[in-house]
Amino acid sequence: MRKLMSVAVLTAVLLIPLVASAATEIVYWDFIKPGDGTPRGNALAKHVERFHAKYPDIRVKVEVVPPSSIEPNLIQGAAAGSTPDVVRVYNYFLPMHVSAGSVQPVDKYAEKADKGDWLLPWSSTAFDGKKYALPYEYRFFALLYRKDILDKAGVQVPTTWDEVCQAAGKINSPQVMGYAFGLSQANSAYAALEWTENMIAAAGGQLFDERGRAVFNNAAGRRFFQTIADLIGKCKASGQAVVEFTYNHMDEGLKAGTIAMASLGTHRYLAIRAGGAGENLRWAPPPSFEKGKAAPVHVNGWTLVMGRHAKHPEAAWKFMEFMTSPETQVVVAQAGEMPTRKSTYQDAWLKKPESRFMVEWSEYIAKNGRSGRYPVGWFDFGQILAEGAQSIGLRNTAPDKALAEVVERYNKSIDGKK
Amino acid sequence: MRTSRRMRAAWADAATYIILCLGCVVAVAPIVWGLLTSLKTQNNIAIYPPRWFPAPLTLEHYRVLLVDKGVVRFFINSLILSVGTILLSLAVAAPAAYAAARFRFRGKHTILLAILATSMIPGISILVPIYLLAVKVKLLNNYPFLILVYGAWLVPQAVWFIKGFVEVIPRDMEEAALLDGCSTLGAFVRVVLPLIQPGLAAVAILIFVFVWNDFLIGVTLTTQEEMRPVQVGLVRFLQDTLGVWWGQFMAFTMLAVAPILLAFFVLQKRFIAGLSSGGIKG
Amino acid sequence: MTSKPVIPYLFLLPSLALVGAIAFYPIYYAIEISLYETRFLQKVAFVGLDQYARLLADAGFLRALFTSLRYALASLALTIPIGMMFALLLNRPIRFRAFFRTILVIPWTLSQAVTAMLWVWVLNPSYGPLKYLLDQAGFGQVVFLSNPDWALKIVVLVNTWMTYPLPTILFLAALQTVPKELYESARIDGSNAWSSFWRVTLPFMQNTVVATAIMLTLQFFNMVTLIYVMTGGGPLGSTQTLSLRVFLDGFYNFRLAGAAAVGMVIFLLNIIFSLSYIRVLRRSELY
Repeated sequence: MRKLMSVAVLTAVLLIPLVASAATEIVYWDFIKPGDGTPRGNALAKHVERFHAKYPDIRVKVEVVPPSSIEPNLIQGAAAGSTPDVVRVYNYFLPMHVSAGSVQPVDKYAEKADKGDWLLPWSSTAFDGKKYALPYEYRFFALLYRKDILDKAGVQVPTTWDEVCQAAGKINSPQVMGYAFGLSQANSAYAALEWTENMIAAAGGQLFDERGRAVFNNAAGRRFFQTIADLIGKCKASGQAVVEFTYNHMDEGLKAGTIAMASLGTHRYLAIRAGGAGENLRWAPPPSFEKGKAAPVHVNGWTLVMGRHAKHPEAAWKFMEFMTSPETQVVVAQAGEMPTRKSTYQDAWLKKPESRFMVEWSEYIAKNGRSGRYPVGWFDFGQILAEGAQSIGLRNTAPDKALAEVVERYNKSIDGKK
Repeated sequence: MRTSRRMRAAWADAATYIILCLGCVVAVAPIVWGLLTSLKTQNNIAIYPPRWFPAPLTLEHYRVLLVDKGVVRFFINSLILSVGTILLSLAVAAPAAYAAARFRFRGKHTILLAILATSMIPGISILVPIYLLAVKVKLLNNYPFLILVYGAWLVPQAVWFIKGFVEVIPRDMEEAALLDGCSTLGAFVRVVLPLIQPGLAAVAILIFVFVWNDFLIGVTLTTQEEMRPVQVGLVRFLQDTLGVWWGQFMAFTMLAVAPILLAFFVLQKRFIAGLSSGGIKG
Repeated sequence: MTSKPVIPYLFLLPSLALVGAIAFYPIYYAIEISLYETRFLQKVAFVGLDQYARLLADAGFLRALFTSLRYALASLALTIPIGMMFALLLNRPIRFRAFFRTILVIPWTLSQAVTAMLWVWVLNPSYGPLKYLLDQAGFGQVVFLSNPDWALKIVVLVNTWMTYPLPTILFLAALQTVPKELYESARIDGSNAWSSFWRVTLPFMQNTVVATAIMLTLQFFNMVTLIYVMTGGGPLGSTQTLSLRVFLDGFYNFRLAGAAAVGMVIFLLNIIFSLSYIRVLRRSELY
């Protein structure tokens, strides 16, 4: 008996350090490959390295998932009982994931977190009173334009949509499109979706109510749809080709100089410059519908969530917290994405003149940034919206009629679904 | 009379060459454009008016890809999956095709149609349940499972194709072999298989291309980077949310296409050679 | 053949086992879930044929059905004759055959995603090379994929470009098995090249032609990535096929039951077309 006891004690004593030193491995899904040579890839590699240095007993395994596969994979994984620990999810899809039960709330880990040091309120990524995600970076839709083309045409940077219409109308030719926007159904109609949500916000309306029903068949919606009609028709500021445009088209158009102006996310600013536009690419606050007033914008961005079946939730939380900490966010800024912590903007790197634009961005969204509501049927809405908007350009549908049809069709589709 | 026949033959030859050349131009023009793009520096790619020839010419995109161990890994994975699927599918489908072509037995039509019917369910409908199945049996990120899935998907059509090739071979040679004391299996392996080499080679190429170019099954059944096939890796250059990295994308594409062309080059002699060596004597 | 009656079953066993083991559960699942109401991936309630009834009432569904048919049949009508033409040409005793064969096969070696991206660029209305050439030739603003009347035609043409090597290879392989003696006897009978084709070549190849037609039809009804990347189903939903709808509904809108129901419709189409081809084959079987 005594011999058995001592063997047991010996075994325990030998095993304990083994167990204690066995590193906890957490799985993290991102669409960026660490260390792939791009600014964001290098930033991610740096984050992981510094995290390992800070928490030697936690290892992070980064699994690269194509961005369009993140939602299906996460939801399917949750249904099968297997999810990663942390996932990078775009804020649009947070309601979808909450509804599908593929992510878990983090309130119990976040008790000691600093809830005030964020550019946007803590509640912006909370649903039903529970906090689900930590914002990793922000972007908003600014007016990106080619200074060289505007100068050549003798045109001032527009500040209202009427001015956009006129200025772009002056510039538009078969070689250069004055103002580009994307109405394609390809690429999940993102270009149409994001432009629309910001335009409706600028026009003083909102897309959806709390129940996820479309509620913009009103003055705001009509203003927006009329703008589409004017851009294509009255001012001839945009060519009919916008019907097939996606972000790629507008991106490359600005790089190549075949597009003069477009509303694009701020995260593309540096990339377009580096891709051929150079110093000629500038940004301006998004045009508003009233002269002199700043336009409200929706602030979107990538967030970090904890998978529903995370194997190591405490370690997962440490990683989420680390990635969104003020120090890590400086590295995020250096890679071209806007940090989400207020205190990051006090860092020396962001005080430099070259980084001035990022500080200006943060000031704009601190004053005018809003959070949008994104229903579970977001993709579906995108397809319906794109088709409705396309018909304005292709079939000369009256804007009011197109708007009414879009809203009705979408609301009908979610009624059928419940 | 003779000269007009020779002239007609000459015209036929000329027409043949012209059509084939035109076909080649149409086939290859966009790809040449892609190849040239892969040799341009990133800044020279999306410009207008387009610059046809890369100036300066750069191999940077290729270099970046070839030194990346992850990229090499993609190719190895796809190679394993393609070759594995070819071996499995041919080994399984050829005997089945032989039985279907040569024998009459109870339930033959039902069985054959049932097998074919499984490939009639659209692949996208099956993707989600296959994923759930894989998670249940814990066979995600697993070469054999992937090969089985590809095989299950391709075998039905392979059976029908090979059956067609077997049916046009006259039975006398097998019957001679059987009379000589050969077993059915022996007749199949020693007489029929060599004769249907063209068909087998063609099906092998089809399988190779299908598996090599597959994206949906690959992205669904692999979650680890080391197990991903080529197309999933390729898509990353398309779906970078900052825009398409055309230079690297095109370079990757060229690299991805090369093995297929190689496989085709190697195998095409097989499926052309079949004729005289087959001994289809009158 | 008078050998043991169990032999054919043994030969078929591996195929049945493979297909049964892997495909059975997924197919059962796909059929079963079309009879339910789902929420994300969970079954909520059994609703019988309700999903199908909803489809019939959905104008978008009927339109997608029509688009799928147009897409598949148009592509078929182009790829099979072109494949046959190239196969016949490559079968002639000319020089550089290996070179031509390899070059002509290249479009098919690209994956759907790559083909789509490449052509989207070539057809780009702002800075694509085709636009440049048309500009030089004096045409004004030409739009390809923005035109709802043309978008489907263009996708069909790109699909043809990408797919024609497949029937080419298969027909070429089949041509190798046609015995030369048959041509000799046909020529002695006084037929020329054209009628030899119809009387000798085609009947000999008919199994392959039918199998190819089946394979291509299945492929065209199932095709998603090419259309998804090129147009996403637009403009104005003019390129939204049934398969694209299944993909979007299943992976993005998470309307799993509805997607499964549409999937069953595609299944039905596949079966109908395949059986018709086989029926045509049986009727023309001269021996």
